[in-house]
Amino acid sequence: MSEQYYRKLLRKSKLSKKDYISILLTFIRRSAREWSFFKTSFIFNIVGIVTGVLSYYFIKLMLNPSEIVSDLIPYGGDFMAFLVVGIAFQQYIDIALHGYYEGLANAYWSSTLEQYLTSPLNPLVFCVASVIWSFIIRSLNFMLYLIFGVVLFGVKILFTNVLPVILIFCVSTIAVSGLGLLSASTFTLINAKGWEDPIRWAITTLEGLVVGTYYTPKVLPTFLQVLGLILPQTYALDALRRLLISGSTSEKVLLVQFFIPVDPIIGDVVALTAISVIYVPLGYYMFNKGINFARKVGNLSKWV
Amino acid sequence: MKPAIEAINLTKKFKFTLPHPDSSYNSMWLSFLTSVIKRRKEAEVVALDTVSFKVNYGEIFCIVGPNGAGKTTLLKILSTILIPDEGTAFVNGFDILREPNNVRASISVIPGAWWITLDWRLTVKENLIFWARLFGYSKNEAEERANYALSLMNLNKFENSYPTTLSSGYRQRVALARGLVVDSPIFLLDEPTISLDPISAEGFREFVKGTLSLKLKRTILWTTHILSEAEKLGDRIGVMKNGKFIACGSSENLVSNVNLDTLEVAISGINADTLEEKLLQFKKSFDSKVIVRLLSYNDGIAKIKVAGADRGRVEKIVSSCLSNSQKILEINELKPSLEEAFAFYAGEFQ
Repeated sequence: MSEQYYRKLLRKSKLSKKDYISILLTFIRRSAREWSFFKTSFIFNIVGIVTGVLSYYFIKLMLNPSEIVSDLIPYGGDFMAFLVVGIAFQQYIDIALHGYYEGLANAYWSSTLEQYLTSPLNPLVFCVASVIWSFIIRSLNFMLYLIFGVVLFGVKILFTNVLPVILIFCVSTIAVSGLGLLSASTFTLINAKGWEDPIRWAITTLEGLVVGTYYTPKVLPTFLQVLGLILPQTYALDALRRLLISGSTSEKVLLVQFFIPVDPIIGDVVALTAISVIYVPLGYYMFNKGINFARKVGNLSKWV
Repeated sequence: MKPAIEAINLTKKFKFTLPHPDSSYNSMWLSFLTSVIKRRKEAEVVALDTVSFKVNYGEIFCIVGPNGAGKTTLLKILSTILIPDEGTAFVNGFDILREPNNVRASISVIPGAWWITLDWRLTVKENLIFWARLFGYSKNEAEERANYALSLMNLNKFENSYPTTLSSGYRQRVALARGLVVDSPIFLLDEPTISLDPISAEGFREFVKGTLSLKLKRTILWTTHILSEAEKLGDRIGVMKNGKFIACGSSENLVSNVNLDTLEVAISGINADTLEEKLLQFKKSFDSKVIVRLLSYNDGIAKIKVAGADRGRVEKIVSSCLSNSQKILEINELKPSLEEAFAFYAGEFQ
């Protein structure tokens, strides 16, 4: 047999876009299958959303239901609507922050990481592919939060700005994914294999304080408001609330909006895009660096 | 023609953290606290030490070696999972360091005990199709390849079962089928018959030798610690120990190159009831580096094999163990077995 014979047997060394799409769909189907194994978790999920919305309703009752919160006027003034949108989005965007780490960790602990690496797949692809289903489910959860808020507790939500909302979801997912990849890189780079890592811990801690999930960033001291500007969630929450809550105005809230003479929502999109341009390449670089580092030290499998 | 696989001075060292010396149960918490503030000692193990070898296209090359010899590390490097510290290798003509994508497109990797990586969420057939899709096979091609692999491994009746419902032997067969779903010019198999029953293992070996190698002319790199497997399969055998190749050649060459006294001693007057005891006495009388083994026993005549001692010494030591009614009938020279050759290369007789 000639060398040519063996060269002909060579498979594709790089996959086409079509291949990647079909691989993503294959992963989604597999995740859907896993999800369907645990049907009761769907019911628990719904119960969790309803009780979550109910608790915000009681908070609103305590604060006086008829009162417009002056600090929330840019977002329509209704504290319950403010909370529902904020918490629903926070639960969605958490996937972008820790999904990649968990995808990598699951592959590592199930010993499949090495086997994936013998395929032409870029490791990033299976990390992304393994979280897509979670994004789909969390998007549905987001919608359920809004629907339960409207139907059960009369929260005033606008369902007319669908396309801009989808745009904000996409841009913020990309921006936070940069941080998520940075978080995933610690799994191999600094051996953070205990389902927690310093990047995620720092961002989650900071996020709870400065992005404005539970209160408007306006109430924060200036230095915390400035810190909030480095996190994409700050802009995403601002834009989503303006787009989704009835009665929102174009009054400026975030510090950066006072310096940019455009509509706050456009400013948020620009900021999210700018942040993506920094975080995504950085995250991608560090993620690949982590995989290569693991290839060098033999850290890709729990069994060397 | 270039070789299918060429390794040049591959070296790989692993560092690992040693457990704290006081990590007994009683001082666990103390040990934990000290480990937080004090960096634990690291040790280094040389998994591969300047390994060089070539495998020709269409050849079955078996690597044998004891546990920890570096076989799996070598396969991981050749499959681009690990990056060597020094040296490089060419697989199907592609450099593992510079052209890893082409290397991956040239190989099918089947590690041992691979069934642990089967997806419990998918049926046997779905597992195979899923794997084929990762390699860029279209839906129809993947289905076709999965059916082919299922029939090869005799798994058709389990195609709709979940791997969790199968025994570990069957799971390993599914894992092998998954490896065979992806066709390549070069197959890297790491102890693939682990967990298989003898009939399935033999069937798989026959498939590799008959179909993959002889019919399809694929190149096979097969690691094992079962010498008979290597002897049956390998066109050539590489013997590894402590991260090094200590010998390489066909099984006949490996045996004929061994400079080892191997003798067959026929002894009469041995009682069947005391045979085991007598053998033990022989073994104890020689030093531990000499192999003593019973070849046959018939009508009071025991034939034993002694490897690693010269004729004079064997005669003297065996005679000293015999009673008046027992005597040495004859001593003949034998060819050493592959097992003895392996022990010889591994330095067991020195």
